[in-house]
Amino acid sequence: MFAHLILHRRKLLLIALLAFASLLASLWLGDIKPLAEVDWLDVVGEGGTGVALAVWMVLILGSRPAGRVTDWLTLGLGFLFLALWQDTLDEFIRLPGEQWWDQWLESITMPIGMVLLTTGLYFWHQEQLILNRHLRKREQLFREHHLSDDLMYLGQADYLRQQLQNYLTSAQPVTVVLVELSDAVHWLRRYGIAESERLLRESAEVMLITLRNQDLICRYAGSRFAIVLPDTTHAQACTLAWELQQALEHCAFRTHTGERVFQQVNWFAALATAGEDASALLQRASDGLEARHDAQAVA
Amino acid sequence: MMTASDAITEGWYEQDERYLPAHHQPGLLLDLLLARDISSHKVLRGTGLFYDDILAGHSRVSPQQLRQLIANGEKLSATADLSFRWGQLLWPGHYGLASQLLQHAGNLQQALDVLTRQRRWLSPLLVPRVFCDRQYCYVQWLDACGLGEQKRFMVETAMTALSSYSRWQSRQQLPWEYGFSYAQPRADEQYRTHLGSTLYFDLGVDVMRIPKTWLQEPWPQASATAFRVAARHLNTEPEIAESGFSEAVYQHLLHHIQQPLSLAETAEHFGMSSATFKRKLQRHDTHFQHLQDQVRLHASLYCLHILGWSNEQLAQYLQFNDLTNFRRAFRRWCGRTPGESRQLFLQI
Repeated sequence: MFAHLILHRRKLLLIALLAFASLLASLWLGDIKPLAEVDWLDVVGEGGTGVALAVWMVLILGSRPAGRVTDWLTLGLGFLFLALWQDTLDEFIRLPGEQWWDQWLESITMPIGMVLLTTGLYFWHQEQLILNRHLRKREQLFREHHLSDDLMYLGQADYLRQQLQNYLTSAQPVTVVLVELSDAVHWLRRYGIAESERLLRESAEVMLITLRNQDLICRYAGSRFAIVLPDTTHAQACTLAWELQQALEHCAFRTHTGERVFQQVNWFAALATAGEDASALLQRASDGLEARHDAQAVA
Repeated sequence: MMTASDAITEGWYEQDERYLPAHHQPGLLLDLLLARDISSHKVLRGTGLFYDDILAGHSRVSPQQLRQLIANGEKLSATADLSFRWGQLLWPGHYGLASQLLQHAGNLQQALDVLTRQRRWLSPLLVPRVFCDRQYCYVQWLDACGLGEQKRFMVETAMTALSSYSRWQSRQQLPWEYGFSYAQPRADEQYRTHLGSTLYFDLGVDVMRIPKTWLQEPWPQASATAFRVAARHLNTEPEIAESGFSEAVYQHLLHHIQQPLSLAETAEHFGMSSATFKRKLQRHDTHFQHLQDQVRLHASLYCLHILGWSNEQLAQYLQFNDLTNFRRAFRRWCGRTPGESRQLFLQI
């Protein structure tokens, strides 16, 4: 959060300065009202809204990189905040009638802020559509950030089960492919924490590239990944999984010292049968994967 | 029964004893969390530790502080695999002579001996109790000094640690089977991926077993010389207690399983008044009756299901006056009658 806020320090400073300037101007030109005259309901209503706007602004700026969309959103919220700030100040300070800027700050900034914020939200909407395209293979039509893996930025097993259940209720055939990076169990010992996590992440990137647009990839557990292939027969899924295996085994992954890391990939494709739920399907896929693993060990 | 390896060492360590170097196991857990961009302040909150002190290498933590660190990690990590990943890194580790011994152990038997003797350093919270019968070698995991809610996390870590270490040293996956005292978690994919598919939940005991033939299978990268030198160095070090307090009480009760001990008798053995003993157990997140029940349950499960004893034999062995009393007690220990428990084991 703070790393992002530092990017926007100028905007924040400008708004703080304007708010401070209007406070000074009001104090210089006006008189402080006696407490009995203050309408506390107004103070709570207008002041509270102002505080909420300031919090929104910090949350938005704290989570966004700099850029046009951020500028519009900040300016919009900033203007709205200034309008409410001046409103709240008026509750405490009585200004002589001819102060044009007081009226201006109160009444003009509000609509300007609204226009800026609306424009900003429109640009944000367009930006979000582009980002969705980037995230498509990771989340398809359902987003639930608390179920995502903090290592891979992919959904975890719980997310996978939820998504899979949605697919299973539709009539089209669904296939799940479990992919295991067999050598990855030793990465942690061989290359250390940071490197092994980077290698897993890069493997996931390679898989993302090979998948089709409608496919969904999740991190199942450890070095096992699950791929949901909607509207796909078992044979098609096997071809896809084989291609994925080729891509992973032929891709030259490297450690930071330049050492080549070879991959060995094991996978199993399970076509959902009628009436099967997500957990049962995943159990069956795990059984298949383990059987294949044992068969390779014997061979 | 099972007395050969149960020799009780004098003394024990307690949950607030700060003896474990913070850069050993706690350091590894910290590394895993820091690698996920979680700040060290958050990870160390409530542990009374500071990252700079840990880096200086002089900081020591108590089992209680390590438990707090685990609790923080569980809360902060968004993925459910923290315990398993920690387990993968745990052994042989960098914990001085104990790690050197693990590194150069010639086979599983030697490794298990080292793990048992050096448990204070290698596995301070959850300790292994190793015993064999004609076919199998069993590694049972015991709470050393009060794990409470972090027990499951530590069981996951310890079992992964032994599997991963033995796999690495022997260059092949060993046919471990796993039993857990707790019910099957709703999502068991982490267990299947990290441990394998022979998992039995809700057994009443946390135990691993492997056919005995694997104990003597030589490990390729062992060095008998290095092992013996490390063992010799270790022998010159002053002897210290290897058992955690709860474990020491458990072992004592197990040793006297045929003459059920009262709280007062046990307290006397440990050289304190009943009141002090009770308080101490409470601080270790347990109480006398619980430990007594655990000891009898674990022994009963072994006798019933592995040795194939009848209820009558077992009731007599445990000094019960009649069968009804025994059945009732057994049910209190694990929620099942001996018959139901037998049914469950038949399915395995």
